[in-house]
Amino acid sequence: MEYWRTKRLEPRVIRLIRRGTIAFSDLIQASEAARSRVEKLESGRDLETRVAALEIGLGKFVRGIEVATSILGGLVLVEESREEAGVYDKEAKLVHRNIGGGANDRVPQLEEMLTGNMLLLQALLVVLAKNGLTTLDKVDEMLASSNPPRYENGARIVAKAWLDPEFRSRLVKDAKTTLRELGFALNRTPKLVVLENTDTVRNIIVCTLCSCYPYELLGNPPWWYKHDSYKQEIVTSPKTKLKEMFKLAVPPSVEVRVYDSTSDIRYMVLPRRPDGTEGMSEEQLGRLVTQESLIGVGDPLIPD
Amino acid sequence: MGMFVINQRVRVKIENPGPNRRVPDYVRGKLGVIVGVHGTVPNYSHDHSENWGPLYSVLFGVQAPDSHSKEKIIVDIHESWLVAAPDRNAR
Repeated sequence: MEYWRTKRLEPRVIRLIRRGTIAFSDLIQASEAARSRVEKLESGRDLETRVAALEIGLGKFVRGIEVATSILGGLVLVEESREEAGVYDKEAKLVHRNIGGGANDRVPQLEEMLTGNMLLLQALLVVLAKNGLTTLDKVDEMLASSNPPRYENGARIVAKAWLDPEFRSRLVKDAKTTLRELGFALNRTPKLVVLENTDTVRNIIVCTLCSCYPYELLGNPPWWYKHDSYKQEIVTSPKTKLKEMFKLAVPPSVEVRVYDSTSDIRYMVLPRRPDGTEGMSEEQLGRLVTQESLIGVGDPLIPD
Repeated sequence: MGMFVINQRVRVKIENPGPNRRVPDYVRGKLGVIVGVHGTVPNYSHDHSENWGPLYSVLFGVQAPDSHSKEKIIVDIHESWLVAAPDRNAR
């Protein structure tokens, strides 16, 4: 929680105030509205329940910061920087609040901290809505949908792209901006590029130098992605490797392009929509998209 | 924006005295074609704290293609690692 407060929330609030996007007084005026948006943590329950509630509360706090970031990310460039976090300047560094004692002492202190942090977060969201950057309805919608990093995020994005050509073209043109509209903050992803498979081009991703991957969006890659045998062989003879390791035969007419994420770009493959999927919903289509197909070494499932 | 443009032929240096070490061995010294111009990509997750300059996606052939050789590698390389190579048809 301290990390999120000192590195993500408060530096951004301070930066917004410095830039004149919001004012301290805006936040104070929003505090009543904010209070009504923060769940009260009831005391008097057993310790285990309270700890579980704290964990859920922390998740909501993190999610709220992501939502605030995605609102700001499209319009006001608020990127965390080492300067703002006080890494270079001790004077600018936000002090960590250390709490001590055993579990019985720490839990009420944590509950108080969480409530305070949530109040600030909700005040910020209220102010952003008041300033016309978003609406509280949209905020609540984004808060309710959680976007933890998992490959299902990619499946959902692919399904949407299959159904909506306009979204698809925006996704391929500027993935990060387009995905921020869906509530993916993507602050720790420098640049994201979505690679479209066609009937003549098949894209594959790898990171030969380490294991770069769009973690923030898709979670962890499969075990073999970090394995030397994949990394070395996919760049040397991709079609052979696809056949040997993934049982995928690529015809001579199809070009295979292997993207090695050696620097600041992270890639995701947009596989081709399988035949026989007419009339399927976004959710149904999403279930056909496999983790392998987002890396390019497999195809989406075919409906029965 | 940067030194290179799309479709320009470039050669990857073998060594670069700069702080950026992130160029795989298999493309060092090789000829490639610029297929992407990204400018300077802000990287605030601090994978590298210095500014490494403009970034390009460079297309290469693979080392051991299968017989029909429709296989390509695209590697993201910073400007400091690249030099312009003469045009194929230049005399």
